[in-house]
Amino acid sequence: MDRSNSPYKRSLRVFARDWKNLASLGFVLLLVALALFSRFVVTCDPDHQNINKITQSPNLQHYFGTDSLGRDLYSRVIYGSRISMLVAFITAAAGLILGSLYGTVAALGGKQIDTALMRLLDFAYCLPTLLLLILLNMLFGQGLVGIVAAISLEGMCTVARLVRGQVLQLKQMDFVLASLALGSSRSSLFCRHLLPNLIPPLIVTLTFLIPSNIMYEAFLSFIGLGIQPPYSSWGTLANEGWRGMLSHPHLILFPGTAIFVTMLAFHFLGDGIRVAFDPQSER
Amino acid sequence: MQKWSYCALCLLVFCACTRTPKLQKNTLRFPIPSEPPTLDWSLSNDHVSQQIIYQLQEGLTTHDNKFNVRGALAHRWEISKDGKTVTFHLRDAKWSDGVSVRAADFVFSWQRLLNPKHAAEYAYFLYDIENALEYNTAKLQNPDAVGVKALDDKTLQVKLKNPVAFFPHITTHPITFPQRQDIVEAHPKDFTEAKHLRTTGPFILSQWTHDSKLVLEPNPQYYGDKPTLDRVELLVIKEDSTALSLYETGHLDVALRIPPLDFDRVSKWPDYRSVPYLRGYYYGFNITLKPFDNIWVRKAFAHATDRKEIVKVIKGQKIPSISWVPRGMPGHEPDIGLTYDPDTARSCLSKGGYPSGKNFPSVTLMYDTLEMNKMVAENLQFQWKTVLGIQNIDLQPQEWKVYLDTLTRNPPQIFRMGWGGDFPDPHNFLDLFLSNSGNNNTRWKNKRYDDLILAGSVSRNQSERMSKYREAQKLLLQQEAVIIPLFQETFEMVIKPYVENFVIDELEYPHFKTTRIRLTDKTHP
Repeated sequence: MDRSNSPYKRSLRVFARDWKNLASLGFVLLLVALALFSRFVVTCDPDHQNINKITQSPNLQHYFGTDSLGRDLYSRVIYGSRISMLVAFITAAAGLILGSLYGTVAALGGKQIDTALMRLLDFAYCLPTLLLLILLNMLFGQGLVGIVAAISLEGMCTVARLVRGQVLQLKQMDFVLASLALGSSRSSLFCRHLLPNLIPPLIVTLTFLIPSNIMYEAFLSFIGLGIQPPYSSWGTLANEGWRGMLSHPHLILFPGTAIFVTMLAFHFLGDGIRVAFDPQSER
Repeated sequence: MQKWSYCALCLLVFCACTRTPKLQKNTLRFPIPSEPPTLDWSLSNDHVSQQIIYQLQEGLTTHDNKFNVRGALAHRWEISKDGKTVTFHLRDAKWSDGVSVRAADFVFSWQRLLNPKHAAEYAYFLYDIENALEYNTAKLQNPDAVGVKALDDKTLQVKLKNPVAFFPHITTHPITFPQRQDIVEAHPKDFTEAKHLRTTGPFILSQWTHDSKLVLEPNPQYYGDKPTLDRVELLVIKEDSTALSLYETGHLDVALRIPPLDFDRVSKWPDYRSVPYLRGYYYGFNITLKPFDNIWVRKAFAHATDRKEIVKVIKGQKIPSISWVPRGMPGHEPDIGLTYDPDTARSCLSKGGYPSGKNFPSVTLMYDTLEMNKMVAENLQFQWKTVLGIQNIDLQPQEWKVYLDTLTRNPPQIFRMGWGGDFPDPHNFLDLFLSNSGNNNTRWKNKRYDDLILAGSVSRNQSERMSKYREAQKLLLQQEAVIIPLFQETFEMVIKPYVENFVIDELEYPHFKTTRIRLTDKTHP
């Protein structure tokens, strides 16, 4: 078999062809690095309040200026990326794992289990996303744990439907029937045959899940349900910033730009990956 | 077809453009920071409600600009020689539906306020009346045993247990205003709605759209000078910054609280004013919860609090204060309290068993969701972390109505609270922390404090009164450190130049009755 024609190699080739994909991948990697090593990138302690330097405009000492309590906004935005990234990745991973299990159990568990699980999901699905998030957040309490739990469960709903559909489709395929006929157990069927075929759509979902989770975290923190002070995410920074929009525009500008650019990069990346995994994409 | 789309688009753009609204003739548009929790004056316990009630209703007495008591619904009163009987003579005043005001309306109102069934937080205001405490705490079942009687339709007699010097001040407060028995009993659940509410003050409530706005209109039956305004719109605007932008776009005529972030810009305008008033801002401890059951821990926190820094952060001309009774009131003792002293703070914390903040348990600090409160909370969190090394203070904001409920039922370890003057006597600030006060959220009960306050309230010798109050303040703030007073508040406000005679007094009551609108002016500063 010619290795260069393996589906993953082919996808990689398609992905690398577009500069936008590479740029967004680079940017996302940079963001992850910033979040991981934020301690070394910041110029001062993001929680340190200096009341003699309240709401300064951007300058050489404070690149993004200072906020209403005299804290360095640049350091806060960098530190904010930690919370935003942490929440986004944990919730995306949790949503993915829970959703895959949920969807597979529904698809393979027999008709009654399928109906019960899917109706439950439908119920959650027909609530507007933001309302569902707020309800879940109320259930789990404010703060980091509550926000992670709420967004994970929200992500689970999306993934579970997708996985169930995929598994139902795969279940009818000849290679699955063959494996069943040869007497393989359910777990080995799942691990050896179904999972490898689920990975491409799941990767695509993941890249869309992450930006939407960043957005949800920002949203919840923005309306005051998320992270509590002194911790800050981009959402809480934006919340503090909009109040002073007329007098001190830099307070909303920088966190807002951070959210915007990050979302954009993840969307390009997600789109690139989707195209790359699409068998139709290479003529 | 394309032409039509263009037209539609133009129309859309046109509609989307906001205009400065046309100034409505003689209407004052005034922001209130939350939906008033209740307009039932007997049960109200917060200032948003009482500011509105003050426009709608009057009591036996009222204050002039210098805080002298003068008659309102009572045109005169007599105090007996022993100081224990006060007789009020009512004037010929009418309720807004034309029914005459009777002494029995007061008797009904006060008995209702004291009825243990209602659990009114302000019931203790009347505890100086004979048998009031006993009835309110269900030791007596008969409301008629309470020392308030209607001798006839126009004469109200009050028998006091203690000859309190400030009783005619108490009757200026909304909590003592008369109630209509027929209305309250006909609509027990919703007599405060616009369609049922009857009042005797300069305005009537003509519309109440919950969580949105209240509309006041002049009361045609009012006995005094008619207000010049035709209409007052009280708009529920929770965010101060929203109120300010509405003011800037001409949708509001007054904004009472300039957000700290906008202060530097707005304070340069000619419409900016700073008005101090009798309201103290403090942090209280629930002293029944660990670690604040320990006096040393409380003292450590008080010594670690730099009020000047807080005032700098929130901007404006607020007055930092370590003491409790505000400036402008008799009994103001600026030196009583625990000063900012990091070294003493740290040694107090060591004595409390937490050297350098080690092993300090996780603590919940609550505040209500106003921008300023959040900034104060964050600043204190940082100060205590810097001075005491305490890392784990969780901040929890709550919406005002929920917050009041939390404080009554289950106060957290540390909470923000304020107290605005109800009448200009130090008693009003000090009786808050009595064992039986419904507004004492600290759960602190101290016999000696109670005795001192009682002794102060019945004494007719002013200097003796003040010395009792001084001792009580030392006990509250220095020896026991139950609360940390932070500062005395000011209204940092902006008023449109066409609004004339707008007064907001030191008890925080806006006087809409005398406010005028000059209509020839432009609408924007």
